[in-house]
Amino acid sequence: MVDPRTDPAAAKLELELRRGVLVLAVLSRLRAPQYGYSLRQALAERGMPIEEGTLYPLLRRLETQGLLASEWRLEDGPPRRYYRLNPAGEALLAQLTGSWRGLVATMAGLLEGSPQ
Amino acid sequence: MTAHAVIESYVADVVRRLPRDSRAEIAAELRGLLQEMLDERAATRAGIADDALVLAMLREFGAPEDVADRYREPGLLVLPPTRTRRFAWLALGGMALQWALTLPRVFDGSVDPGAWWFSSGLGAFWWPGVLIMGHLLGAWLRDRGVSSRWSPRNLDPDRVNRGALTAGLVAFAAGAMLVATLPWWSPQLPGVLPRVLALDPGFLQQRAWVALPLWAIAFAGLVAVRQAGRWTPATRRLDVACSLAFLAMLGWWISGPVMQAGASDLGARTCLGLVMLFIAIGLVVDVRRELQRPRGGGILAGADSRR
Repeated sequence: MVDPRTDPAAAKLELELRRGVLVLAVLSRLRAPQYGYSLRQALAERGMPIEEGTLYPLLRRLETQGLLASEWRLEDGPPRRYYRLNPAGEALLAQLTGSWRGLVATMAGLLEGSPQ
Repeated sequence: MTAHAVIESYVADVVRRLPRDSRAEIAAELRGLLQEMLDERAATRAGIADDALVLAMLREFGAPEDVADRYREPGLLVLPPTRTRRFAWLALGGMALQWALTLPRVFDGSVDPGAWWFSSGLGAFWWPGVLIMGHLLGAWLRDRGVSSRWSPRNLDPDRVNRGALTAGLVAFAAGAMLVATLPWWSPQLPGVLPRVLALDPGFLQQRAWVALPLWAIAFAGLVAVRQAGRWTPATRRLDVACSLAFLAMLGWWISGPVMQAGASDLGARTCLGLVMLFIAIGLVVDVRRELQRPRGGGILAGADSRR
């Protein structure tokens, strides 16, 4: 049995697998406004830890692609940039969610049918 | 050095690689996020944010150039990974060949090493430059959706295109004629051209003549291929033999002066060296293809046997 924690090749493949769902995971948590740090915590609490060095630039790229809206807020701490889905982001989230569910069903069928 | 100063330095290093108009906003956001990360990590160490902790956090976050890359959209990929190896071989091989042809003049004392470096030595870098420009043009065309459509490779490698081969034979004959008659027509040219194109007398008397029978044999072989419409085992063997003979002849040619004028001689020998490289590459490709060809089986073998 290959263990991704000890086998570098398996760990790399698992990382590729997680990278594929990164955007969907981020979009799913941005129905409500979040800033980078709070978003990372929200994802980690739900079992999807993402490296900060990957997550923060991704938010800017998604905004540049016209999927997120952002605004600076001054609350009890330092100024923070909050991101949330805009209509285009919501449409993409709905589309990717449908694709994801279809993929999960397909994969479940494939994995259940695999020889033991 | 304070934690704040280190973070400032890191942020500056990231944003200087980003478009000018987005630097201020990204810097403000990144600064706040890094400070928050640091506070969280320090909280687990009794509130101490020392240099080691800051540096470890920033190194884990990523090298500034990598982080800056992540902020940008994926850009134009000039050299895809599948072509890197071939590029490296071609670039290094071409440069090595040019140096191999010009360095002997340094070792025999006729050219000063410094003068060599600032002429032929550095000059050899034109070749990787040309390759990079080619890749750049290819990447630009791919980015605009211009790419050649895939089509199956020649399924019968022995078959030849008679029209193209005829054109090649005409060009072959014309080129050979032009070079063979160079000593007679070049003195009629105006200006300095007769001196530039003057062949070395020793080369003409001792080494040049070998080309004529070799060209004649190679030409006859290609005419036979054209007539048959395909390569046969005999013409393949003749082609390999001719390539080996040409390599030997060119090697002999460039072992001594070819032209009278020094610059012309250097240029001519460099070109002949490149021709040797191309012949050698072609020879290796042909031999490998022959060795990898399935023996006695397959559709094409059956088609061959019926002919």
